[in-house]
Amino acid sequence: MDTEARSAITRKLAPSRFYDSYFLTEYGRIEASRANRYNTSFSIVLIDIDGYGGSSLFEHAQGIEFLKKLATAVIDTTRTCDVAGLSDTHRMMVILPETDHFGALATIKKLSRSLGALKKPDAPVGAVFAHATFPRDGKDFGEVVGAALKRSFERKESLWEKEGLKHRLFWEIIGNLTSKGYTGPDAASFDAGAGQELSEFFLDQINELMVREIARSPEKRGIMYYGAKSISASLPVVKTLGSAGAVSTKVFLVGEGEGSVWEVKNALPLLLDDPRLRETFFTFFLNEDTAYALVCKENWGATFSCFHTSDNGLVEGLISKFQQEYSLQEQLG
Amino acid sequence: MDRHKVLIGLKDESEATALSGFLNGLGLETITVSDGARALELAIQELPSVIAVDTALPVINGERLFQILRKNPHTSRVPFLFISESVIDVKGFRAGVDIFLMRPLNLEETYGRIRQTLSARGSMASKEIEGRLSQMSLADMLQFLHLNRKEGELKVSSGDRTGSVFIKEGSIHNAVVESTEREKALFRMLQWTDGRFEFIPKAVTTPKKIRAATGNLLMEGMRQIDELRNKEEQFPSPDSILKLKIDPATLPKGLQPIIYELVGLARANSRVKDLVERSHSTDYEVYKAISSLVAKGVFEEARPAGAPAEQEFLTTDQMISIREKIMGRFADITGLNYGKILVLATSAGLVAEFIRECRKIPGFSMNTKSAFPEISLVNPLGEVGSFRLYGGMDLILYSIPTVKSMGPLWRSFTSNLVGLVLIWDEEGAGFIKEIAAARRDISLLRRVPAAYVVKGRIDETACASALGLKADEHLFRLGARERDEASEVFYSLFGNLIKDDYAAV
Repeated sequence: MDTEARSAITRKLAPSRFYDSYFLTEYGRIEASRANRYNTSFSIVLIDIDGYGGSSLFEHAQGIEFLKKLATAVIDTTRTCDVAGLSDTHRMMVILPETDHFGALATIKKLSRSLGALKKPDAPVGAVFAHATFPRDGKDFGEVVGAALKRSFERKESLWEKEGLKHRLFWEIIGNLTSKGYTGPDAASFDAGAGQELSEFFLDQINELMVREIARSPEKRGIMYYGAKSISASLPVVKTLGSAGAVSTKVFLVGEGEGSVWEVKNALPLLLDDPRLRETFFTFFLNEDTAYALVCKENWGATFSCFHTSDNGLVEGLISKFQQEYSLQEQLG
Repeated sequence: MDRHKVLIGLKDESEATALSGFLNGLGLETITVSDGARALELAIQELPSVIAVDTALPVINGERLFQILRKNPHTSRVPFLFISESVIDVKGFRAGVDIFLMRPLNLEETYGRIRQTLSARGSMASKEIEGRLSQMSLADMLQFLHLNRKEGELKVSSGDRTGSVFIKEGSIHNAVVESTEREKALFRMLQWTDGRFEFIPKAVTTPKKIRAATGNLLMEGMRQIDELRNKEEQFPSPDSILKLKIDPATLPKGLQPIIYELVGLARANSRVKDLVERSHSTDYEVYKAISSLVAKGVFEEARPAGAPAEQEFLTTDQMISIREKIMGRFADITGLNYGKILVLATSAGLVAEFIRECRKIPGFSMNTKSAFPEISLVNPLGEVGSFRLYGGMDLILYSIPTVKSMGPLWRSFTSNLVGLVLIWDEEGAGFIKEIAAARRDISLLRRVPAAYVVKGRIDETACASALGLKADEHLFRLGARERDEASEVFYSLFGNLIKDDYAAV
C-alpha cells in the first residue's frame, strides 16, 4: 500500500486527531528538539496491530471499521497533548510529550485495558505494545523509534506472547515455567540443591545479587517481588536490604510471616498464606535497565527445579498477573 | 507512644468495615464515616494522622474534601489516601506524602503504604535530639539515653559511613553498620569522633541481639578500642597474608569458638583485613586471636607488617583515562559511580582461583559484604571485588561462576559493563561453544573488550579458532608462577578500553 493511500485512510479513521506517518515523524523531530532544548524527556508508544490482522485490515471495509475503533480508543485513552497516528500498516504510534519511562508504562497499561475491551474474535493475540524514551533510549527521534521497534520485535518474540501466557492464571504459568526445560540465552532452566552442581545457597545468592543491584543505584525506580514460604527479618535478602540506604525501588516481600516483619527496612511485607508458596518461591525484578525473574519449585530431597529469565515481556507479564490475581496495585515502579 | 488515628471515609460500608477492622488489628485507631460532610467535621475535630477517602464519596467528594482540608492550617499537613475505581488527576496531590490506590484493594498493601507515610512523617517531624559527635561523643549520648530510659533509633553518620543503634527502655538492643551488627558494629561506631547523630523516638521491635548491660558494654567497648590502639604495632598488619599451617580437622575440641571461626574463614580468605571483616567477633578480639594463632604456628604471616609499600597498580593518568572512557560510554550519568567487569567461567573453582590471584594486585579489595561469607568464595556470584579509581569510581569484578544456563543473569545484570573476562580449564574446554555464544551474546548487548584466561593443558589454537580470536588477542594462563597473570589480564583489558572506541550499544 502506498503512502498516499495510507494517509487518506488515516485521515478517515479519526478525523482531526489521528495523523499519518509523515506528520508523526515531523512532530517527533520537533518534540525531540524541544526536549533537548529544555532538558526534558518524551516517550513514544508503538502499538503493533499485526495481532488484529496487520496490513490485511486495510483491505476490507470491516477492517477499516475496526481500525476506526482502535484509533478512537487510542485517542480517548491518551491525553489531549499526546499525538497519535498510524506509523505504518503494522503499527500505530503515540508521542507522549513530557513523559518518562514510567509515564509511558502507565500509558501502555491504560491502552492495553481499553484496546483489550475491543474484542475481535478472529484475533486472540491482540495488540503488542512497546515504548522508548528520549533521551535514555536515543539521542534523536530516529534513535528513539529504532529503540521502540527493537523492543516491539523482542516483545513479539517473548515467551509471554509466543506461548500465550497472558491468557493463563498466575500459578498455571509458574507451573508451566518450572516443568519445562528452557535453554535459550534469555530464558533457561537449571537444577539446584542437594547433589546438584549448584547448591541451594546459589538461589539465595541470586536474590542477594538483585538486592545489591538495587542498593548500587538507589535512585533508580523499579519493582521487586520476593515470594517465599515464610518471610522474616532474618532472611538474607531482608538483611541486605536493611543494610542499604534508602532505595527508590519498591520491594515487596510475599509469604507467611509475623508482626515483626513490618519493621523491615526498604521493603513492604504482603502476608500471604497460600499453600502453593510452600513449594514454590519466586523473585521478579524490573527497572528501567533490568528485567529478571527467578522461579524455583522444591522437589523431594531438597532439590529445586528452577527457571530464570531476562525476557522483559515475560517479567512484566508475571508481575502484572501477580498484581491482578492478588488485588495488588498495578504498578511497575 | 500515641496510637495513630486513621479517618476512613468510604461509601461502601463493607469495604470500610474490612479496612477498619484490619487496621485496628494492627494497632491503628480508626474512625469510619460514609459521607464527605461528616468526614470534614471529624477531620477538624479529631485531627487524624491519615485520612483515607473514596474519591466518589457522597455529599463532598474525596478530591474536594482534600482541597478544603489543605486550606485549613490545622489539617493542611495531614496525608491523604485516595481510593478510586480509576485513575484520576487529583489537583494538589503531594507525591511522597499522599497516596493513591485503585480498587481492588489489598489490605496489607494499604496498611504498608499508610505505615510508610506515617514513618516518613514521623522521621521528618519527631527528631528528638540531634547534634555533632565532636560536641557529644557517642558513648555520652548512649549513656544519656540509657539514664532517661528512651526508646528509638539513634542514627550516626561519619563521612560516608552510617550506622544505627536501636534502644529500648534505655538498653541497647542492637547496632548496625552496613552488613555488620551487634557489638562489632557498636564498637566500630564508638571510634567515630567526627560526624552527626540524631535520635528518632519510635517503637523498637527488632530482636535484642546485644545482651550486655549498657554500662558494661560501653566500658568494654572503650577498653577494646584503647587496647587496639595500644597494640596496633604488635598485631599483624591488615594487609598481611596469612597461611594456614595445620589441618583444621586436627584442632582440639573445646577451644574458643573464635578460633574455629577464624580457621574456617582462613580457608577461603587469606588477608588479615578480610578475616576481620568477615568474622562475627569484634575487631580487637579478631586481631588478638590472629596474633595468638600466629604465635602458636597455626597461621604463618606471609608478608610481615612493615613490608615495603606496595607499588600502585595504575597510575593516576591511567585511572583518569579509564574513568573518562567509562563516563563517555553511558548516557545515564546518575549511575556513573561504577563500571562492571564481568567474570564468566566454566566452574566456580576457576573464579575463586582467579580472585585469589587478583588479591595480589595492589588496590584490589575483595567484597566482604556478602550475606554468605563462607560460600561467597567457594561459589562467587555477583560482586566479588573491586578497584577504586580516581574520583571515587569503582571498577567492580562481577562474577557468574558457570556459563551453563546462566544467560538470563548476564543479560540482566550487565548495566555499566566495561570489560569481560572469560575463564575455562581442560574440563571446561568442552563448553567452548557455550563460552563463544556467551561472548557473542554479551557483545550484542554491549561492545566491550574481553580477556581470555585458561588453566591446564588447553589446545590454544583450537580455542582461539572456536572463539574467533584476532591475531593480537591471546590467552592468559591462570596459575603461571613466573608472571603475575591477573595484573596482565587487567592491563590488557584497560589498555583495550582506552585504546579502542568501544561505543555504547
